[in-house]
Amino acid sequence: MNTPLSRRSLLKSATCGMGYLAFAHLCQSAQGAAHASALAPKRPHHQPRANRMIFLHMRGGPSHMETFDHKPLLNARAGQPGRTKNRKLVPQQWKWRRRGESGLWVSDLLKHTAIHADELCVLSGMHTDIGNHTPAMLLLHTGSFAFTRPSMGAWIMYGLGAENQNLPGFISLCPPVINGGSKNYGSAFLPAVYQGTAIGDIKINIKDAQIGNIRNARLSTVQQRRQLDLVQALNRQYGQSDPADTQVEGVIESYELAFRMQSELPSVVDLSGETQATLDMYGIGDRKPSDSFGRQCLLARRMIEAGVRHVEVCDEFWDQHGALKKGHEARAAATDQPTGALLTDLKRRGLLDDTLVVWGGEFGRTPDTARKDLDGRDHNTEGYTMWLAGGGVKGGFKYGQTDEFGYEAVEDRTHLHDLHATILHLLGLDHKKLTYSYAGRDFRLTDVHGRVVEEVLA
Amino acid sequence: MQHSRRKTMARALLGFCAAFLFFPALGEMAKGDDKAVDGKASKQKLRFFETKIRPVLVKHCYECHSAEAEEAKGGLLLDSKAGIRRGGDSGHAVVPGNVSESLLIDALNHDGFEMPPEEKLPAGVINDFVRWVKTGAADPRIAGAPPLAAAKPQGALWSLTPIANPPTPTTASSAASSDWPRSDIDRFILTRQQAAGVLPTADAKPSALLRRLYFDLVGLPPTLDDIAAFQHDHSQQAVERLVDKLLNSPQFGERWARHWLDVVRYAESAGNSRDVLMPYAWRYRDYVIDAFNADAPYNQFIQEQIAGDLLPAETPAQRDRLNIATGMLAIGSKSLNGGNLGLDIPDDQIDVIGKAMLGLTISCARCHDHKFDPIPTSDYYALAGIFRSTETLYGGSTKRPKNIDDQIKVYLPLDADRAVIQQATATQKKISKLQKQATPARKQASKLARKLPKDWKTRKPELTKPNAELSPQDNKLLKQIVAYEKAKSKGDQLKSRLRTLQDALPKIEFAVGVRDAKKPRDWPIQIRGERTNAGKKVARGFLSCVPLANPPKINGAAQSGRLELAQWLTHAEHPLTSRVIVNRVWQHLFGEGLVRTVDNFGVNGEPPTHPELLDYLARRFMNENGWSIKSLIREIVATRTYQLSTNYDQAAYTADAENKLLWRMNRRRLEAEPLRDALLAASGNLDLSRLEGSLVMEIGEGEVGRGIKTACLSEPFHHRGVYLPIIRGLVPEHLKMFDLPEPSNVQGKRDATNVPAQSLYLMNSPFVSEQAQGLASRILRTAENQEDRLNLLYQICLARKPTPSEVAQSKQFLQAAAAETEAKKSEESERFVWSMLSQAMFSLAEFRFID
Repeated sequence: MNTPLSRRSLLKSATCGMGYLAFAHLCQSAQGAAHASALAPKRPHHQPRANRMIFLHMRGGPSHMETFDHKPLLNARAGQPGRTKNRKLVPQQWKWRRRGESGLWVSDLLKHTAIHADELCVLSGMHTDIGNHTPAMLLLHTGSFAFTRPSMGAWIMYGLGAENQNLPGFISLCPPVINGGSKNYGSAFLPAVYQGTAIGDIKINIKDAQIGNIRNARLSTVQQRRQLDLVQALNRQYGQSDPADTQVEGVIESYELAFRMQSELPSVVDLSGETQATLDMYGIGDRKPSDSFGRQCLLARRMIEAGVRHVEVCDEFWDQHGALKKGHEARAAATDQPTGALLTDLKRRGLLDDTLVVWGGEFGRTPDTARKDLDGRDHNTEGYTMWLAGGGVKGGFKYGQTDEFGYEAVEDRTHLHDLHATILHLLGLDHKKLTYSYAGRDFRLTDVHGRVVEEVLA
Repeated sequence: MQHSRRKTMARALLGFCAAFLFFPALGEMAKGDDKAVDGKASKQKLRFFETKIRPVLVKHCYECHSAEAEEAKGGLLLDSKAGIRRGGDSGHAVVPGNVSESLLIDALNHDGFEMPPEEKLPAGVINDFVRWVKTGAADPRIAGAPPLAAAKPQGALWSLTPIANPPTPTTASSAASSDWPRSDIDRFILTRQQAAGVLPTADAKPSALLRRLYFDLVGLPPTLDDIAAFQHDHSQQAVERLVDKLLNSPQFGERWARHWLDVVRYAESAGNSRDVLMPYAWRYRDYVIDAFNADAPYNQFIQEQIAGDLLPAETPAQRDRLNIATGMLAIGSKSLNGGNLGLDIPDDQIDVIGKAMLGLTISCARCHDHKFDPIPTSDYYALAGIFRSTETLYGGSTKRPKNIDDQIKVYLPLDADRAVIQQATATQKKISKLQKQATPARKQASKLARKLPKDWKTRKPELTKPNAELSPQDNKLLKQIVAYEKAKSKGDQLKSRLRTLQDALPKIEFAVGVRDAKKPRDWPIQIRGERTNAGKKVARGFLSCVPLANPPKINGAAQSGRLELAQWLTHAEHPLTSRVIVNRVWQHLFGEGLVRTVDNFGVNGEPPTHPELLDYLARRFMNENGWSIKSLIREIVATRTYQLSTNYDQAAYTADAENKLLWRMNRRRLEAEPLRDALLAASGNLDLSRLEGSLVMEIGEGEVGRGIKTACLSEPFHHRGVYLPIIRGLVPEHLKMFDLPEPSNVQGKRDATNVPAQSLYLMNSPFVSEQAQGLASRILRTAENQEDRLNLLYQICLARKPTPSEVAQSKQFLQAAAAETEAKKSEESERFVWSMLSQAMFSLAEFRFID
């Protein structure tokens, strides 16, 4: 338990305790000291099960009763009053099958994901605090909806640093502009170096996304290198008068990094070298509904492979208060095949062992509706499903249970804070030790909450 | 054993607190505690207890074994000396000097007992306990003492002690230093340096000082004229003249307002869950700029922002200014979707006042007594009562105001007396009423029009001819025409009446801000901060830990208490307000405050490096200089200390690597706005005129991501950085990139990160490239030969001439770049290579730092 990074052990061994740590941070940022190396890989708190993660963010709240939470009673009682008189129970819209050797229930809506049932660790006892999209999404990403807090990815970067120094360590593909926007991948009071890099936004196909300032429109690489050589020579002269200086050194290092990133990042996001078979597997192709999400998933795989720590992939709104069947069908058409392909691809390349894949939305949906056509479900914070795969979780495993209709988690309830604690744990971080001192106190992703769900660990 | 998680965490925090509270460097506090100690324990042993033992006890044991625990487990109390020596049901926990009889050590070793129950403490910690017991178990804790927060004796926190009136130190008059100090400030600095055997480094070069003064005071690079003039005369008189000029320029307010805007979390949208725009927030920004330019006394400045609406005004313009000032309380981030505004808005207001003005994290006491500072929850709710008795007008919910009727409910109207507002609302009522008639009338007319044949206009004359023979169809058509024309004329009439009314609608301007609620009253404590869990009522008031002889009294029924809060904050004996602001000003001039944790003067903050100097400055600021920020700045920048170079010195560095003694000036990174302004100034594109309003106002009412037109945000913007729109969800790239603080949080000290994204921005962004091309054109236009051009380039960018080696390197670069660009020498290729060189200058560390 006494890893070098353990703040607790430092506190105990250093004579001046927390004061020194807080202070050390202050002088570091004060002098801008080598923030570039703030991204250097750090020793985790304990042996990690996963070294990187992909979050498949299903915005809007996919219905657990149409995906992973089998509720036959809903069909039997369809149209009968739910918990209140004016709301009627909505039948499950797709057929259910037990899948794989584990016999995990997955509906026919997600046929491609279902193939990987034996890899999935389905959390069916999820619950959260708030039922509006934006605050719920902020809670999902930052652990808080009322205050501006660092995102999970930023905490991970803070805790682990970047694996590949030539690439951003935390990338959010096509994030929403609304629903908290950049706060969902922001660093809040953590140093800005830990914030996510957004590529594209939800309104565009990822293939049309521009990466900010990655290319120079006027200079060739040779010209730019010459320019940079001059800059660096002059920077070194400027810095040499002060042997104690770290700031100028940091600047010099940062330009070199940027220069390398210019060549490496575009090559990582360039899909032109992928085979047609791969593109087909991911459902990539003009006019295919899965084109953008498929590209995102393939990019996520490429990024992870190149050493990006945390990639978030984002889908349109799974928010079908009405037209549930049609809407969910469309969402599945966009995401299911790419999701399945991603799992296949990760597995094939041996990446799934130490890559954690997380799937889910900000909440789930209600078993009942006020609509007469029984074709819709509303927001449900009390019970829903997310799943984990790879990186140290049990496969073909279901944890947690909602009641017989799917209203609320009744067994092995897992709060979002618990999920955060578990994700950090899998990545080798102790959510109680991963703290940052700001405004007079130590903050955590999980605030004062969170339990590592030991039951799901492989 | 049952453990509440919440409690465990609370205890964990308490543990940190203890470690901090008794951090040995807090000399004053440690001394205060020494008095309570039994004479035998040496100071060293006591320190050992405070740093190694107490924090562990607090963190791991008190939950179950303290007077505060719900039920002391095993009858064991570990929170007092008596308790720990007596032990519990099983025997003595600690027997001084006797490790084997001290059951506490057995328990820690999980030998017989297992404590703490969750997991064994690290071996190092257990060794500390063994050592502590062996050496006599020194323990200053008194039995029955109240829990930590209350146990702190009044005045234990340095920042709450009255501001001292320290005598001016007499510095050792060695030949080397007798003429060094230029003022009392220098003497305070030098005394500490002498005590530590550190010598100040050399004075700054004139060019560096000029550049430093420009950026520090007005946030801009020096003009070429001033560079020339300063080269000629850089005497102390010349410096003072320059300082006066800069302090009196309108750019001073723009520079220093931004510092203030950082600590009051200024932005122009609600941020958070639904990013609704606040199109009138910019008025508060302008108020702050004006206040700094007018050198408004800081006490008045504070009073206006807290209670401007309750202060007397002589003219309507003054009234408006004072109302706008309260915008500070309204511009915070809000959770408009799923939040609890009734409690969250007061919380934000208390938070900003606490951190920005008092350097205290009062908000921590929302759910529990402050874990570190002497702020009980009741104090928090005494303040919360003031703000719950205040109505905050920031533009309202996600449903945006559409007309004057809506607007006056959610904004503060400006320059308008009651009669005008009444007239406006009355007119608006008429308009709304008429609209209700006009719309159906219009619909009716068009419905009738649709029924008419296309050629009805041509047929109408024959139908209306006197004695015309009309078939039944004709008759029907005629009736239709008559009906239509009637409806049409009614509609037209209504439309024209509407237009008249709309023209008569008085134009009313709005601001965000606050006013007293109709029924001010005291509010209860919300237990654990929860809305549904009300405890006892607390009379509105202020922080009980601040010792003021005659604090203002709140007239409970009549007013919110904001006015009294404003008076309390600016009370001449208030120990925090003046210390906090002089420290902020110091930080902006040196890169570090005398208290380095500028927003936290509490137990968790750092104590001042120069406590006497801080008090000297605070006292002088209030008593001699009438709370004048400009006077404070003038006095600081005139010091020898401020005018030191950033030169390295090995001996001084070895003694004081962090430069706490200020033996040299800190090298500082240019913040986002001055960096941007400097780029624009270099290219000649900078527009120094004041922006009228804000781009957010141009966009108008609406919400990010929901149909607002944001095209104007990506158009070239050549005003100073302080005028850039701060939409919380759409912070301009440049500002975000270079560490603008998250605008929802109070942050008095900016980060200075150094990330590749910044390098990519300087290397590749269209904005920087545009300024580089602008600078190239300017250079080529202004100077003829290469030598002059290089001179000019360096002066514009670095306020100095290039060294011969720099000239050589630059020439070499130009030559190589030109050779490659194009064989033939055209004007275009010359501009191109110069723009490359210009951009290289922008990328220099020296350009991005202030020396």
